[in-house]
Amino acid sequence: MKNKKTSIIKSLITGATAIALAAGIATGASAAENGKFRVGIVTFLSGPAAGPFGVPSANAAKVLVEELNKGNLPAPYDKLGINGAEIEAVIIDEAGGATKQVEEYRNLVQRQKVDAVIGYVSSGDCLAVAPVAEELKTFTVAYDCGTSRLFAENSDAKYMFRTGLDASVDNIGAVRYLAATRPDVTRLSGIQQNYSWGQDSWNDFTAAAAKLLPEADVVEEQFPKIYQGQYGAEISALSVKRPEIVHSSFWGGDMEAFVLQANARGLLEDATGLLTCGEASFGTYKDQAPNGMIIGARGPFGAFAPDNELNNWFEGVYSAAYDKDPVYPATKMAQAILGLKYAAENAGVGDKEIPSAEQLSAAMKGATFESVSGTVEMARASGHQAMQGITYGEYHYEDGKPSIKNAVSFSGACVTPPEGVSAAEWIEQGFPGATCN
Amino acid sequence: MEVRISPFFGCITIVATFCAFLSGKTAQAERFELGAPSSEADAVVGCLYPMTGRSATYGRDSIAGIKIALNDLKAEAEAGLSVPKLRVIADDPRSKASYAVRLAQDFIANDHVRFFCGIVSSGVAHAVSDLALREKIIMVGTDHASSRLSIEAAHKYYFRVTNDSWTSMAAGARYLRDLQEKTGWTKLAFIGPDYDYGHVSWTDLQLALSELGVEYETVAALWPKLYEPDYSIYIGALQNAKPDIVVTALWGGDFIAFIKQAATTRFFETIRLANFDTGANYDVMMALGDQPYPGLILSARHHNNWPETGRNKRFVAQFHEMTGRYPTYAAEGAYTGIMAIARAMEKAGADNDNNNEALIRAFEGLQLALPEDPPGFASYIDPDTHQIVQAQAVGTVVHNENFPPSKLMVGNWAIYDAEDLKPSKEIVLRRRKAALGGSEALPPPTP
Repeated sequence: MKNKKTSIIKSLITGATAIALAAGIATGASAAENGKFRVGIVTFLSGPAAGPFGVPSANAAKVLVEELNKGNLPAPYDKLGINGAEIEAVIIDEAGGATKQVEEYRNLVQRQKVDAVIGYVSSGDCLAVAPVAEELKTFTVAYDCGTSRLFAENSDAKYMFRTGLDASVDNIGAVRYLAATRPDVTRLSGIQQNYSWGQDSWNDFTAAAAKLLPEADVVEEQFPKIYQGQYGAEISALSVKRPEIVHSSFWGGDMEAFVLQANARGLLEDATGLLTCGEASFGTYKDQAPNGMIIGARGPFGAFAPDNELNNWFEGVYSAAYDKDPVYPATKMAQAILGLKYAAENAGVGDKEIPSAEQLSAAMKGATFESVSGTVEMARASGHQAMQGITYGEYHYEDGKPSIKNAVSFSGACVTPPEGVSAAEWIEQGFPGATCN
Repeated sequence: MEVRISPFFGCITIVATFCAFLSGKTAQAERFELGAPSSEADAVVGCLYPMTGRSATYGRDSIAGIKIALNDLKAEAEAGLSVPKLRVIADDPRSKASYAVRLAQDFIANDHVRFFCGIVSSGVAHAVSDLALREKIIMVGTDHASSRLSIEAAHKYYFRVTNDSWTSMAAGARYLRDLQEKTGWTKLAFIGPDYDYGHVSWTDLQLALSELGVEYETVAALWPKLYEPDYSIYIGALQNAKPDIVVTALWGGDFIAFIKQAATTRFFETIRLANFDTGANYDVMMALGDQPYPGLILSARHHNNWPETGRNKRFVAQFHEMTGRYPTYAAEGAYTGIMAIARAMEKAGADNDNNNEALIRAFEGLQLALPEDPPGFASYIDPDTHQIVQAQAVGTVVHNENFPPSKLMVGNWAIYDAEDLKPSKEIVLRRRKAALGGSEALPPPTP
């Protein structure tokens, strides 16, 4: 019988409510008092981002913590818990906005006494929390947010790390995929949510396209407001411009609604959708998305995660627990937890000892560790930002099963700006130093 | 009495009506009721299509095209889009203008239609267009092609969403210009049905050739009546005139009959026959058998095998899945009519409620991505003429068994851009001025 662990996560949880994942958690007790490694997990448990991002992420955290506490992971993560200490995970809801998340972060650190924080889908939350992490000197790992401003605005960060990739990688990778698979494309279009995520994504995509697809023109761009839900006017406007490619950084319910509606209205009969976050709904499109739609997973995650021992193990336990394959937010959460475990176990402290934030930061800075997504190099932002490759491929649904076809991977050095260079500058300069396989 | 049921938005009925015809004979015609029930419909559309006789294929395929449009709209609604619920009623005017007007009046009085649509015969369309103007009903033409309807007889309530004779003849003139450069042809003849569409087509061709500076000699212009059963004397007259090219505006069964009768002579040995508006229709392709007559130059308002876009392939597949056969161009025209109405209502938004002015503004300039649009282009309705602006492909007959039972299709395409096929503002102005001066049409240029 499947262990249905999602029910508690899926329930609406207020920001003040936490789910503790460990036997006998004593709220308010410090880690030092009970000898456990307490980690705060922050992701969306309510609102539009919960279904596609928060729930898979929280589920990943839950199953991984349970298996770590049993010592069930493959090497090099087969040591029980974190550095031999049992893990207590305190999962809280990211909903409510940046101001609220700063409060929640302070609560996690100062009242819940967590030893580290992993979290944040929203770029706004990442940006708000980063300086607080430095203020409170708390080892913090951003697992999903993509804003390029995270370390640009926190260039001297000591405690803040990101094991997910910068969003510029999504869009540089998307253009590289087109250049590799559709080099003759001439008519590009886009639809983005009208806030910084959508605007930045579109800017990176169009700038990269200008360099790598010089014959292509942008024939239409649409910026509906976030959570609009109905895109008839935008789809019609895109349709009559007859684009070959429709790029979108839509995510969650907006993305699913757009795909459904664009497919029904015929936009995707001739235009190929290119969804940078598309893999998050890999298991739910079914035949409502056309075969050949290009999807990404914001890195080598989810359906694009490699065939390695760690990922095979993770997919196995996740599928056994939740009766579905992990999508990219789940993989990214697993990666952040493994990064924390790596740092703690390479911090030079004794068995079962819990390293300080300084020790965790020193171990994590510039580290190279193995993950469900392959090898992760903390090679950017002075060793605080992960650098990995990215893969795009085509969604196909045949015989009742989704699959990825025509996947193409690009190395981190191919899609990541050099240290100290912004994505905009790197693109404008024509990607100097890029090493592409 | 035959009753067929196909649910669209939960309701369809076909009512067999027994109409007392003017001759006193009793004829049976089918009245189709498709789409939303009247209690739920946002708008009722009254369509007129032939269901009997030589042009019945056009009506039958138009009804299928309407069904596809309603299915597409239903799928959009199910996907969460806000689309209008349309009720579509279709009846057979039997190519009679007076009867068509009576049916259209009944549409208004009994069915409370907001739109007229369809009509194959340009003669019938003129009469219904006049009624649309008087009654302030928006008319969306989907098949008739006389350019007079959108130029001399244009009015604010009339729109047409399929190629007109000007568009087709402008494409044809360009094809003939290019052909002349290759073959040096000089002698041209024309044969068309003896009613508005035929005559306007010939005028349009001459004007288009003149605009392009093509020099030629007209050796014959012949006018058989619509639905003429025997073309032998016309074929003989054409052969005697010794043209290099014969352009025809015969359509449907008339064109097929003409070809088959011409094929029993030596017509095709010395003459190239061109039909730029209707000749490449699928019913013609089927009728040609398995050997193309030499020299045919054909086009139509929609092709099953061009453009090779996803949207066109999908439409053809939908039609085939629904009917078990491949569509004539009438199907895509009717499909376009319903989609145009839906999109205009969407565009007008809340302003469209009982507000024709808002709807007319929505139609003017309305862009539509259609099955017949080549990559990179979307059809649009010209705000001045209310005529849809579309690209056109002209070609010759090739072996192609991808659309059985036909063994032939048109290929070797020459593609003409939509913008090039619009009548110039100067031509439109001159024709409208001539009409105001009492002329039915602008006289063709004197060679």
